[in-house]
Amino acid sequence: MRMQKSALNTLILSILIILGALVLTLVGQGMRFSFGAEATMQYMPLVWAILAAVGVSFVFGWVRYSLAGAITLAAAVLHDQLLSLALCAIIGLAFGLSSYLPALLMAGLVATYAFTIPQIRTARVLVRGGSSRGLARDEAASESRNQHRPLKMVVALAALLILAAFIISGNKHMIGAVLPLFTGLLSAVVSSCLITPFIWAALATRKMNKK
Amino acid sequence: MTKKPQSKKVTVNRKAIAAVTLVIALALTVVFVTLGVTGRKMDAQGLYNLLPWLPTPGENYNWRQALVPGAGLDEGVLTTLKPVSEEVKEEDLQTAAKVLMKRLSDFGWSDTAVEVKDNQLLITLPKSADVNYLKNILTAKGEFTFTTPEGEVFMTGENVTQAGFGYADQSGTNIALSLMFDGTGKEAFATKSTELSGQSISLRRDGVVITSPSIGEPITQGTVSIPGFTLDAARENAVLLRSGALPFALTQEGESVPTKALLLNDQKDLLIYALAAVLALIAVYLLVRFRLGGLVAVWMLLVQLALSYFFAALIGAGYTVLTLSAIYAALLVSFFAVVNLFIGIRDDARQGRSVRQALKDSYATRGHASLDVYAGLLLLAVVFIMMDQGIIRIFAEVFALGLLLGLIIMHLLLRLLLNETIHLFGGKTGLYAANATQKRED
Repeated sequence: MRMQKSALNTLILSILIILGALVLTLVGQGMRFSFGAEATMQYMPLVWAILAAVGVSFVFGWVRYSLAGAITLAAAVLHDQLLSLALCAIIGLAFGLSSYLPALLMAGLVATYAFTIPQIRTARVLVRGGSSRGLARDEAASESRNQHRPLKMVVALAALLILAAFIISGNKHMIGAVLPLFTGLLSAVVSSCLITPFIWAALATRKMNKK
Repeated sequence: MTKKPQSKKVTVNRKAIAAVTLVIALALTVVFVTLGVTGRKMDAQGLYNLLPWLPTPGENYNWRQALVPGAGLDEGVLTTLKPVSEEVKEEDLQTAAKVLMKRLSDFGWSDTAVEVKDNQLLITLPKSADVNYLKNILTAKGEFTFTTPEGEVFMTGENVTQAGFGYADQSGTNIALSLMFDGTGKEAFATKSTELSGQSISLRRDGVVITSPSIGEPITQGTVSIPGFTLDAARENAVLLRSGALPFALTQEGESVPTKALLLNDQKDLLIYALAAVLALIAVYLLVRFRLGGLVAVWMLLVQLALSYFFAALIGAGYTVLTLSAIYAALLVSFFAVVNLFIGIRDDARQGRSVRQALKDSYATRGHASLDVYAGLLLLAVVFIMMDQGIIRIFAEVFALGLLLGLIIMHLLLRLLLNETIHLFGGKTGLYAANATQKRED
């Protein structure tokens, strides 16, 4: 499976951030909580929830699209959830996280789905081509990403405005409370623009080459 | 010879039907939103009231009775607890803070705070909390011991790995405390229950016997179910066993005092104004980009918001950051669906298609993308509810309701009202998309 170089570099950067946050947390420097919320933080339910999200996304993607779509959606969910958690662990040092962290991390799936699913759908249509000759997979993935950029920008802006409303009306602890929403949005933007279209293209190309 | 009577042709005024449909929908929306803001007395004596459920600024409205605020977004109650013993270590205070936080979380109070300050523990609870009841739970040391009839301790609460409660029989009033032990506890309990078969074992909390069930037969599986509790008592004991014992006993210092919201600035209504301003900005965007179609979309978003708050209040979700996040996350999905749909309509209209046809095609193509997003997220939310992982489940319940409302409103109601709007106002492209080619619909 050959993925575009820029996508691979972005993926590597994400993995480095995730590993860095993991190291910070293991040495006791990451994941700082406010108001004693660390006592309520249970990591196993969060791990199970992330695994369930990846599993459900894979099955949903397979039923609705194809194996390439399933892997793409599952990869997007896994990447976004882990990167979001890692960014919370790092940025939370400044603001202090809340006991809502596990739940609001799952809220980030809204951005993942809203940004990834339309791109997969459009890319598939572009490859098929309809009445005209279809595009190559890489071209279709890039074209799909470009077509959906205005929609993603508008939705991301609306999400940022909602977050801004919370932050403007809150104090420092509010920033820590809604931080998972912001990191979830950021992770979804990064993955939908720089990673997942090319995962889909690489997987779909591999499937074509096998045939 | 008789003539065949001529049948009267009834012409349906489509515009009139569209107008009536829109007026009825608008009237229902206005009534619903008004009730959401003001509430209503359902009888003359005031025994039954429909409480308002839409958050509005000011103290004049009773929506806080329907959507009960947590300590994060409204004033709370600050209770100060101090250790009974004079000298305590800092690490013991931190341990005590963690134990108290676990107890509060286990009781369902997620919007609380426990801080260590000046050798004391500051507990912030929501205003709606029964502070006196919770104070008894928080100050209890929670040291459990299992003793023989002679008072000899053979096991402690530290050997209990899981504690729960449930109905002991069909009466509904006899609640059993169910316990699971670790390896050491399983062995100790098996030995003693064999030795004391036909006698009783006492369960003590902080030295006081809370129950002395008789032992019918040896219990060797490592689990035991102790009946004879009330619901409150069983729940209390289960929570205390799960949280663990405090390193020292606590006592309240002074009276509980009001305190400001944990997450907000001094102006607690600012959040309501800020969210209203965001909605206004979203409305302006939709109106400017999609004009009459955007107006209908704004209307539907408002309906979804009002219904989401209604159902959140119905299920007792509370006015917390968690509830608001779930409601606005679902609203964001609907905003995505609306913008996606109208971009499709605009693009088709620019290519010369009629608005009605563009609407139909947009639902058939781009509409399926938003259907997939709704369906996928709804599936995830249902899975999270079934997994029952504490706070994730609480979020997923409100989120699932919002998604379901959004799905029905954006794919059924919006489509219906847009069609009626086209019938009433015509299909001129300029009415539904800015900078689009003008095409009059025949």
